[in-house]
Amino acid sequence: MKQQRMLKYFISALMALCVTSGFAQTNTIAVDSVRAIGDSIVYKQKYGLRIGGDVNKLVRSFVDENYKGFEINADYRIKQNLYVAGELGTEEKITDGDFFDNTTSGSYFKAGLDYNVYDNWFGMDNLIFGGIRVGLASFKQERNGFTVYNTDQYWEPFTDLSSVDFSNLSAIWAEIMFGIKVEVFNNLYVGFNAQLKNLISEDQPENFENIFIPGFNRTFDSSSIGVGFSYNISYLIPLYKKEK
Amino acid sequence: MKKILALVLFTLLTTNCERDDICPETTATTPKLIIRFYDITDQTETLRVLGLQVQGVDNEEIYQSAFSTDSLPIPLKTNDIITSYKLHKEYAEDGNGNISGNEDIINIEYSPEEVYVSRACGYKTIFNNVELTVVEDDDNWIKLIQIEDPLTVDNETAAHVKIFH
Repeated sequence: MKQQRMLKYFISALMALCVTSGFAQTNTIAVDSVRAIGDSIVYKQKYGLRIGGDVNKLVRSFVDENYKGFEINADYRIKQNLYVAGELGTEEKITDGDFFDNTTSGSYFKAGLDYNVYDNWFGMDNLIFGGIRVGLASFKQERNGFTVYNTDQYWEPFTDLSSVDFSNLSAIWAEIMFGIKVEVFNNLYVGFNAQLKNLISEDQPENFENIFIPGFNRTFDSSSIGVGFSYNISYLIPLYKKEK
Repeated sequence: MKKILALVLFTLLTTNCERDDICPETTATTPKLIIRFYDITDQTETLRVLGLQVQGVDNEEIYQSAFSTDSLPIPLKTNDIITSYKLHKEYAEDGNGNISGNEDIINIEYSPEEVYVSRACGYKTIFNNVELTVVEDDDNWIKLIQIEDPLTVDNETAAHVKIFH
């Protein structure tokens, strides 16, 4: 039994290390051996609400003076491999560009599904998942000043130091997500995921644009694509157990 | 699923050093005022101004020293509503510091407007209701000015003002 637990931790650690390099293989031989020991044992899996927070945003809030962010995330298992999932967060980002300064602040909500593709060993509850989300952000931008861009430097460029508010902005996007969640202690999970987003609609501020959208991250001139990373710690509140 | 992972990773890697962060030269930003010189006797023909020196009034720096051209792009002040230039024709200076030639001063008045371009280029200024006048002196080499009314300078694709001499 002790050896098995050792193996569990070993696999968990290995998974955490090797996500980017490839998928962990499902070891059918090992599963068979576990079945051989406990032939009549029926393992019931935990179903419940998992609630966590984004560590990355929290750490960045302390080390990056131009950023403040906070996110809580949750998922609820509805089927063997399917989870309803969502994130709720708030962000403030100062973009100190060459020609303008901008502060975006606001909150966002994302909702969708996670699908676990990982075949767990007996007694384990880890996830390698793909997810889809729809994101919605409500925010404001504050342009703190700008300098006119001019390729010719013969005259001093015009600089506007006044602060202008563009409030009541909103944006909607779709995203796909890929990540892992590993149970490191009983009911405690650490996870990582990467997100690829595509902006569906946004309110454009007059004579300006959305530089940063909470939850979506920075925007790009040439496309409607956005990207994101998340490292999170979460806790599973087990509500009931169910056979596979 | 592996394809999605590859796509996500690829996008993350390539977007870190996006070309979006540098304003491309092909993007139209603050335009210059383009003056074209024409022949006063045959008004359909362009005529080069010889030895033209261009300097902004209240700017110590010479914008362009004596050169011959029939087309002159000049930058306008984006932080003012008027820009004045000294257009010195047949500019020459002898060993004793005596300057010869004929200097005319032009005043360009306008209403500047700041227009957002992109996150890499920020804002540009376009110039509305542009008017160009010559300060009269005893011997103006600029004989006639032809300008659209009202004139908006928001690009550099064609000349904005015709000066006949």
